[in-house]
Amino acid sequence: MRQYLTKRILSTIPLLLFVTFLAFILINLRTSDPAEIALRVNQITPTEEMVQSMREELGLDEPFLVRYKNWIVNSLQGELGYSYVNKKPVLEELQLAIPPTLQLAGATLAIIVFFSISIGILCSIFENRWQDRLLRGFIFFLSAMPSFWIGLLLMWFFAVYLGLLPTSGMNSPQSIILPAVTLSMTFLSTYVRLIRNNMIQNKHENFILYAKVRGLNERTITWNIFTNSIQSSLTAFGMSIPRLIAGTVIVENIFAWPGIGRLCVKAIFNSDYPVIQAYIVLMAVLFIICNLLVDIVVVMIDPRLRREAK
Amino acid sequence: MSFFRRLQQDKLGIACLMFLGLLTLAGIFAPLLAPHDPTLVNVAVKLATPSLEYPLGTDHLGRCLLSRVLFGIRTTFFYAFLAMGVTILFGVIFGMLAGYSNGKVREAILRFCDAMLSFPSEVMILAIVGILGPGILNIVIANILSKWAWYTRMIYSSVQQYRSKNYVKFAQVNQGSPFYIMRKHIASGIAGEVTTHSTLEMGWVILSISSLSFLGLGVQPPTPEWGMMLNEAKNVLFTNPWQMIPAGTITLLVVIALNFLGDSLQNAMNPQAYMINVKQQKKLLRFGTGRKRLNVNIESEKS
Amino acid sequence: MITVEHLKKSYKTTGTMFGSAKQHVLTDVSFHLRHGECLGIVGESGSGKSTLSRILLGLERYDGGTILIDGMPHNKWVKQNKGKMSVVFQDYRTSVNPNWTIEQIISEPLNMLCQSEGGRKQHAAIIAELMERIQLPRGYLHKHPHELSGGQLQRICIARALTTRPRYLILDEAISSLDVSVQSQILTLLKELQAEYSLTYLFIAHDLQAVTYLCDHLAFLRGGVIIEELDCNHIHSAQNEYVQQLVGSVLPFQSAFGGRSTERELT
Repeated sequence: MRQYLTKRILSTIPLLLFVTFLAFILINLRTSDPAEIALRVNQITPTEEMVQSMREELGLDEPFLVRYKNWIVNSLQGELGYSYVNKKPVLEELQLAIPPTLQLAGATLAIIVFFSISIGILCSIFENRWQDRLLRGFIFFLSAMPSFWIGLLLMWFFAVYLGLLPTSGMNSPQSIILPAVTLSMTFLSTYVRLIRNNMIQNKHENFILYAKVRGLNERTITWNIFTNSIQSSLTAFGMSIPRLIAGTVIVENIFAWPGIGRLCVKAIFNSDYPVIQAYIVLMAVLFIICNLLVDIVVVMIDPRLRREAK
Repeated sequence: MSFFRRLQQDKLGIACLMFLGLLTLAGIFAPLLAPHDPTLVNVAVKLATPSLEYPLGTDHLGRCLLSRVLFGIRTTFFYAFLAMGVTILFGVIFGMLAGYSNGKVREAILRFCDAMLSFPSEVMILAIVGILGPGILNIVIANILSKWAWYTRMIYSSVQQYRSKNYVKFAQVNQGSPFYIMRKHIASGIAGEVTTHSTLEMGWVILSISSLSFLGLGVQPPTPEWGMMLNEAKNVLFTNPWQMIPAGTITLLVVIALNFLGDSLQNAMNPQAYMINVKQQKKLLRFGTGRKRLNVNIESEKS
Repeated sequence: MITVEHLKKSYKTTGTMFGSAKQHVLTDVSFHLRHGECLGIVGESGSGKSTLSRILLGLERYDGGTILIDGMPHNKWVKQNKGKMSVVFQDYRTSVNPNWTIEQIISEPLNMLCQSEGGRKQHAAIIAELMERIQLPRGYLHKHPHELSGGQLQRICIARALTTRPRYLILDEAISSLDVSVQSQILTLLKELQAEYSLTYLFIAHDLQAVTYLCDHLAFLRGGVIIEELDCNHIHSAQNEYVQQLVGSVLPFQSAFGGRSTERELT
């Protein structure tokens, strides 16, 4: 087990290096000179001299690999550079933007887990009857809608037409409801289907038949099926967390939610490369770590894999 | 029973195919069908509700919404096909290369794909657009780069899978050249898989193009595009909710049609799966056609 | 006549950090197969049977030793005699392209040999004759593989292998995936076909009963070496302990029914 853990953890290192290097190269490959952009976004018409001094200020005249090394070392120390636009440290901007995104992702995950489990169970109970087909059709319909359109429709109906919820921003606790519901729509269909199919599959397993033969009551049996299905769905839920965080971009922009997705889009409009770079690396690291954690948890839960991993 | 015969049995699939075909035609003949110039600004009639003159109403600049939706087909389909086509081309080239080369080349391609795939495509697209800057072509490039690795892996594994099939080995025993085998056995199999996957994937590409256009990172005004139309509708959401209906509905319909069509293709492509899925479904739903066909089969077997 | 002498084959095993290790699959394999005979190669899984058949079919290269077919080096013979060696595989489902009709499947080897218009008519005649021979109605030619049962499909595979009138037919576990009752039908068919088309069989199997029914000679393969070659009539005179054990496991039938009961039971 320990051997597997060390191997798995060590295997992420080359991936992390590759991803950061890729992000670094891509940012450095673009045609426009970052020094010039840094000047332009501050509404200064760049002269030859100013570009030169800006290059020195940003450390752009060093060799490529040295710059990569410096950048990694600095990043590890939390120095992610300064935003071209407002000269604030990128780290500070991220610190402001990450908590709202996490709140949104957390609320969304709660909605997804609650609804996918309850709808999934309902569907499996009414397997292939009209209730099942109706529910699945409805969920499929919702997930095929473009998320920005759902967002607009929900915003209009609940905030404008009914006036129940705030339209945008995060001024009151209710503000989170609309963005979270919108975001969960995209994922709901996959998880409902997953849980339903797991439940149905488990229903026909031998140990359930045995339980029926023994005359256990319906509720106990359903509970048994449920706990078994949940275990296999756990991985899928784990994998959805980074995708949720990455998926907040559109929703945050519709509902003016001050998270990292909105920060990134703003940075793209302003060609604010330090912020974009920080966002990319943050997301990559998040993905790699989440994958790692899910893999480890799966091995710990499943006794068969646990033995193999030894 | 051939692929097309099986597809014909699938009424939903045919309906989706026809819908998408008609939509493509409407896009091609948009200049003839559209009642107005999609970029013609006429502030006098701005934000009109549907009428005979403007069947779907007008937007905040008084442009005809029906015309904009029709011309939007061109934008969306063109760029989605472009992105999909190039992705498949790259996937086929590199997948075949990995499948037929030995040792180092294959390892290099596969490792690189794995590293690319450890990024989710949503982040990848945002990252690439962030680096290249906003613009529809950059979104197409980002779509290609983020999906290319996936197709390469898929084609690589199906090449491997087909090459291990006994019927390919039998052709080899009979001195069939690699080219013959590729043409007769592998290409047809892969073509089926690629078509199915790209149909299912197409909806995703369309959504990503219109999402980014909605954010203002994609198609730039005044070119009509559904995502961008919704972005414009967002500004007048409080007063004119009708504005978001036409573009949203058409996007939804296209995505649903592509999804259903992909499923039907998948069923029609694979005779065994067809027997299991569609026939069973039909029996379950007690559709007359399904049972009739079963009877015909039994009768022909007797005779 | 196929003569195999000191055949060697090893695979590279990947995944180790310190270079690649070699796994020897065939270390020293020698046997003769005379015209019109049937040689059974018996061995448990992992003994190298399938590798041997793949090498003989020209699907894989060998590392050492010689293979002579009709006195010619193997690769030369294979190039000069298209369609003269054929094969029936174990897994009949993957042996046929699932999207093709039976007609397309059966005529594939013929079409690969000859594409001319005059050839087509001959092809149709050959196929019609073979369909009759394997006792399947003509109407099956327009069906798809998934509409046929396992035994029917394996018959199609046999017919397909025979279309080019091969001299040598390799049966790579050709009956192992079939039901027992169907196995016996296929074995009977194979025996009849052998006499009719003067075929030479190389029958690869792990099931001794079936092998003794069809074969004249037996070669026992274990750990990449032929440990014993026997005539089928003298199967009890085996020297090797492993072979004795293997033969012994079939013996109970023999004592119960007396004589060569394996044959009677299967027919």
